[in-house]
Amino acid sequence: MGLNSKSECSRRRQHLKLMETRRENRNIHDNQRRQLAAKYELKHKLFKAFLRDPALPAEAREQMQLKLAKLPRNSSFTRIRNRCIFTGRPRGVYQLFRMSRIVFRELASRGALNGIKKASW
Amino acid sequence: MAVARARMHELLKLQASLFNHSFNPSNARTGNSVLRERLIGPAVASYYPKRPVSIKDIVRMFPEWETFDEAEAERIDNIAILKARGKGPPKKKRTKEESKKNKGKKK
Repeated sequence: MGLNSKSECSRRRQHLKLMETRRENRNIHDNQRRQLAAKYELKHKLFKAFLRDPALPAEAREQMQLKLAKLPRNSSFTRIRNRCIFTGRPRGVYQLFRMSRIVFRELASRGALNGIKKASW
Repeated sequence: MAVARARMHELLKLQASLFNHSFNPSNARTGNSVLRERLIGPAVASYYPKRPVSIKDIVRMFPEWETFDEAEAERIDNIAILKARGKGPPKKKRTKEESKKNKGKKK
């Protein structure tokens, strides 16, 4: 029984480690998307501006639409997700601190964040 | 005191030319609203903090330095031993027939 639970425990730990690695990979992927989005930002804007201008002939606007669609999909800002920079958690992330609520609570209660104090009145 | 409409129009036009705004009295749809937005690319791209510099990075930066990587040396040694025993990686198949030869067969 004791042996069994031990192996179970180690398996769970391994699973957790794997999850962590996956989340880190998600962060790396997200970072790549961010770099791409920054790189293609001007092009996106330019094509979109031409597309919105009804003074241009319809053909030219169509072409602009095509060009916009041809850009890499990962260069779109809507594909970016704010993730926790420590754990990679995709939800419950404070934008200002760039960390998840769990990490934030941990660090704040340890006093590692400047100017953050637990409310009490 | 009422100001003539034409006069007001003129003023707005001048104002736009002075402050580099687009003058659009008929409120026609132009792509300007897209171009007017601020660029957020650099801020978005720098969301994740940079990796701290490691010893590996320093070694990569100065390839002319003589350094010793124990793990790498051990790995290369192990490969040499395996190769000597005939347990190295198989040779790259050059032609299609060669690569098809052993497919589907279990040995």
